[in-house]
Formats: sequence, C-alpha cells, structure tokens
Amino acid sequence: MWRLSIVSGEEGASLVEAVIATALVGLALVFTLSAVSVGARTLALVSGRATAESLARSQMEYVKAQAYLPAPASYPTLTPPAGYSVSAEASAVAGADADIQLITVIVTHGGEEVLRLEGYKVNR
Amino acid sequence: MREESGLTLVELLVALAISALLTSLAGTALRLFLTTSQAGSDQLVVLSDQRTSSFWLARDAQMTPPTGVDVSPGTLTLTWRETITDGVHQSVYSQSSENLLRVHSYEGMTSTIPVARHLAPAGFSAWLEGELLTVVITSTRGGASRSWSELTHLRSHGQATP
Repeated sequence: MWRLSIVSGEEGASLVEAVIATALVGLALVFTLSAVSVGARTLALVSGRATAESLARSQMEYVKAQAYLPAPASYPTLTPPAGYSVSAEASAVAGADADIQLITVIVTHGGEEVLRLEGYKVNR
Repeated sequence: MREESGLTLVELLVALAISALLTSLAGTALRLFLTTSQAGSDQLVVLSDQRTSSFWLARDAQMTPPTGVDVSPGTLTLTWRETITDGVHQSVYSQSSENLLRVHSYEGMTSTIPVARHLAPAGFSAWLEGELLTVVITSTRGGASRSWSELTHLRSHGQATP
C-alpha cells in the first residue's frame, strides 16, 4: 500500500489531509479542555467568594456584639476555615466623636486579600 | 494482487484495533467529562443553598431583639415588632426532610418559602449566646457537601418584644 501510494503520487495529498485532520482534532481538544478548565476555575472562584462573604459578614456581626473599644483597635476574630484568615480593625471617623468608629473586616485567602467589608460600630 | 490482499487484511485488523482503542479512550474521556460537570453542578447547587439561606437569616435576625428568639432542636423562631406600623412579624425556620423552610407570618398573612433545598440529616442547628445568634447549616448533594455558620448580633435597642 505504502509503496503503491508513493508510486501513484498520493502521498502529498494524504500528508496534507493528515496534517489538517490532526490540526482540527487538536483544535477541538484545546477548546474542550479550556472550557473544562475555565469552568473549574470559575467554580473555585465562586466557592471561595461565598466562603469569604459568609466569614466577613459573621465577623462584622461578631465585632458588633463585642464591648466597644476606643479606636484604633483590633477586635477579636472568629476561627476562619482552613486557608483563610480574617482581621477586624477599628479606626476613628474623621469629624465625628469617639463614640462611632469605622470597622474594616479583611478576609485573606492564601495570603491574598479577597474581600474587604466596612461598617460602623457605635458606643451606646 | 495476492500480496495486496494480505496487506489489506493486516491493515484492516490494525485499523480495527486502533479504532477500538480510540473509542474506549473517547468513552473514558466522555464519562470523565460528564462526571466532572455533574460534580461542578452539585457544588453550585450547595453554594446556592448557602447564599439563599444566609440572606434570609441575616435579614430576619437583624430585626429581632434577643428576647424575640426562641431556639428548640430543629426549629428557630424569630419574632419582632415593626416600629412604623407596630405590626408583629414572626419567622419560623425548621428543617422538613431536605428543605429548610421559612414560614413568615405578619398580620394574619402567612407565606412559606424554602431557603435551602439540600440539607443533610439534622443539617440545621441554632443557638443563642447573649446577643449573638449562631446558625449552622450543612448542605449536601451528590459528592458536594458544605457546612457553614452564620453569626448575627441581635439589636436590642428600641424594639420591644411582642
């Protein structure tokens, strides 16, 4: 068959065909795999986001349940899920008295900041 | 002619073997692909449970004074008085098989909505420590499982218990 193909001059055409077919299959494979990869990354992002949101909201509520500390201060934090860390800092509000403060809750994941939530706490 | 037909048979066998191999590989890949997307979809469903239940719990609990909370195993009751209309709201959260139901009543009108649909058995619990309400929910579907806790500081100011 091989020898016959060479003789009849079919080789050129079948080589081009093979290359085109390989390229097409490869292209389809790349598209499929990149779709799967994008899906997995999006899912990880959404999941991390939901965890961070829940943690930040709970931390903010936790701060509001604590006794009022004069700013600047760090409030006690909750135990975050593995891989996450959370901080809650109080700072003075410009132009206001000492009975209101800005609370900034920062959630980090793998050392990077993923969510920052701000709120106010009053001394009453 | 004789040589050619012999070669064709070998070629046919080889081609058959190769195509069988390719088919089985493609089948495996397809099954992997479907399994992966099913796992992803399960994860999203569980995440949606978390988002929806957190939203409703925070919404109701932030209106409720500590004295308006009643916790019993499997049931959380939040009662608060609306300051403008002076009407009394009540939201009862309880697990009914896999659903976390929120039954809300106000001035004789009652509405029921599921705020999570894939709870694990005994996947809903709540407790009150001083002014801090903690709700822990576990949602599971397929291979995906997620457990989270929501804290709410109960605002005691200006609202009398009905």
